[in-house]
Amino acid sequence: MIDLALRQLAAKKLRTLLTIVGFGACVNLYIVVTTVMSFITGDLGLQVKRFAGLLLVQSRSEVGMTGIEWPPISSSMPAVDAARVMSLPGVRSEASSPVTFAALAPPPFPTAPPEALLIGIEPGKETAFLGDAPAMLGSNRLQGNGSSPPATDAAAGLHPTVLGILAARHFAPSASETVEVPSPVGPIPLAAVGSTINIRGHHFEVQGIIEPETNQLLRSCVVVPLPQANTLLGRGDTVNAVLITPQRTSDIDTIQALVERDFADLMVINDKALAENAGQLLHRITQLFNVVRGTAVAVAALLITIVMFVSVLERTKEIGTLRAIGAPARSVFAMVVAESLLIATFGALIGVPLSRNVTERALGPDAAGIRSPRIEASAVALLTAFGLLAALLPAARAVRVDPIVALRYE
Amino acid sequence: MSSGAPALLSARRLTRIFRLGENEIEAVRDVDLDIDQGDFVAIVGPSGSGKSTLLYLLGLIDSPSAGEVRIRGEVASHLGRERRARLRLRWLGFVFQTFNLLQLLSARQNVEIALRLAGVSKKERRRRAESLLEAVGLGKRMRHRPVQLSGGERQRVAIARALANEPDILLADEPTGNLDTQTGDEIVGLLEQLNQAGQTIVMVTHNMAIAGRAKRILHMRDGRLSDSAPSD
Repeated sequence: MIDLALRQLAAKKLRTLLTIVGFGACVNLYIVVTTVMSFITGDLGLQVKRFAGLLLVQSRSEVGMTGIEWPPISSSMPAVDAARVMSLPGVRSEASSPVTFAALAPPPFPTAPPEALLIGIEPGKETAFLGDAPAMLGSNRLQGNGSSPPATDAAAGLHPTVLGILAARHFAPSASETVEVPSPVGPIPLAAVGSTINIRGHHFEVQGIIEPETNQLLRSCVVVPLPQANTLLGRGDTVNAVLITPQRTSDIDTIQALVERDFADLMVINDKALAENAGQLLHRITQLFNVVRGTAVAVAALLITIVMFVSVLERTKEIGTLRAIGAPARSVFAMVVAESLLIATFGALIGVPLSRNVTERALGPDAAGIRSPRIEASAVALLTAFGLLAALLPAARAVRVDPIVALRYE
Repeated sequence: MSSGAPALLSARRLTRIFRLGENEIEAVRDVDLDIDQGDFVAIVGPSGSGKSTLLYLLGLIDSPSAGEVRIRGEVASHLGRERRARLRLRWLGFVFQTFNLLQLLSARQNVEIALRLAGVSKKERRRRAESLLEAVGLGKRMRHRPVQLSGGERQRVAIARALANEPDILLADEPTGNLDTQTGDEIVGLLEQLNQAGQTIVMVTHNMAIAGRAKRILHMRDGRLSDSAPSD
């Protein structure tokens, strides 16, 4: 019955095309959302892992209904308070630092960190944010560690910066020099190590690019010395937060107690709260994405139901004739189901490549690594299954066509 | 039935009542009929006399309100939809007034569809479809779609389709109703040839000239069947 179904589809070219495109769009949406969901889940896991054992001290007022803001871009605290926090007992000062965050480029998709996230940190204390993330190119440290004022190339008026791979790609078009690195989606241009980039009128020398196998926050980071970050952001003596690495695990409670006792406006967020926050965020995102995925499945199924119902109604006479000359119910049923199967198959042939394209656009060079044949296969299988289920009603309607009525149908 | 063998197709006290709201319309009333092997029976009557309803009852497309239809002595009219469909596919061939060909298929494919439903192999169904179309004079029009064929040619395709599974009985509902006189003559000529070759045919028509070419004429009026024309 497949050839009959094919002929029927070919006879209604425009309707068939629109249905296939509609089904393909649903397949695309399902795959993209699932891929992004999988990416966010993995990334949040990596972020929680990276910041395990750390404490974040930030202003108390910035914990809103949506939970902890991470990174705490809206938080603000006086630099004096940050310095006092840094001097508390139990703080491992070489791996702790006041930090300033600012979004330099919007996120590639909702819920993602900005594509370029400025992080002002005290030189020599980059590990407070970067941890042990290695450099893919150059160094993972700002040159002139610990110097104050921070290292600069006085002759060129340059300040050092270390970039994540997304930020390096973001600045590539305006960098004085670029380098191409291979990626699963082909070579991507990055601002080269040694090149100069311009951040809001200030020039920085790229000293290193962080290995891309890190979390999204580190992939998008633009690490610069804290004073330069504050200067280019036009900030006074304030920072967003203090990232603290305790000397010992047992110091966590001590530091937390001291901050709460001495700083009425500050609060401490530990790794457990961050993990819990990530879990809640993930739960909300999953709920939202599941609604989108459910809608994609429902629309695909509804599309097939409607189109097949119309098709069956249009072919009442033809189906009635087939029944009159002795076609068994299963043959008529198979004919309708075969048509739905063809629509689903052609829809998948459009939807899967489209989803790859959309995912690449949304997630950039990370996309190819995140794209999963398992997600694609399961999306196609699920939507096809629902498409076939949706065809059952029109197929049952076709089987019930009364040949007598059909033969008088003109 | 002097030999005592059951008729090829028989009807006993066959009745079909349609209900339209509060009203009941008796389209076929207490019809008794025997069709024997090699018969060519024409059922004639005015429009609305119930002749097409009778044909659909005899062809197991419709179910009677009372009475029964037997094929070779076996009650067939009370079987379920699917078993009746199987009987239609195997024992009966249908020709309709409006041809009822599948518009997307060529003449050959229209004939093949009946063979395909019966589970005939691809090679064999092509051979038989081509042979049947040759027999009805459409050897050179096999690849044409219904829309590319004349009315007479379409009806020839429909006859070839009806004969595809070598049915015991060919049931034709106004086979010339949509054709001009000359083409209608040709189609009836074809039916005569088939009958002479042994094909049993039951034909419904309102055209007495066409009916006159059958071996036996039965008259239908107000749902009742008789051997003789009504006196009025």
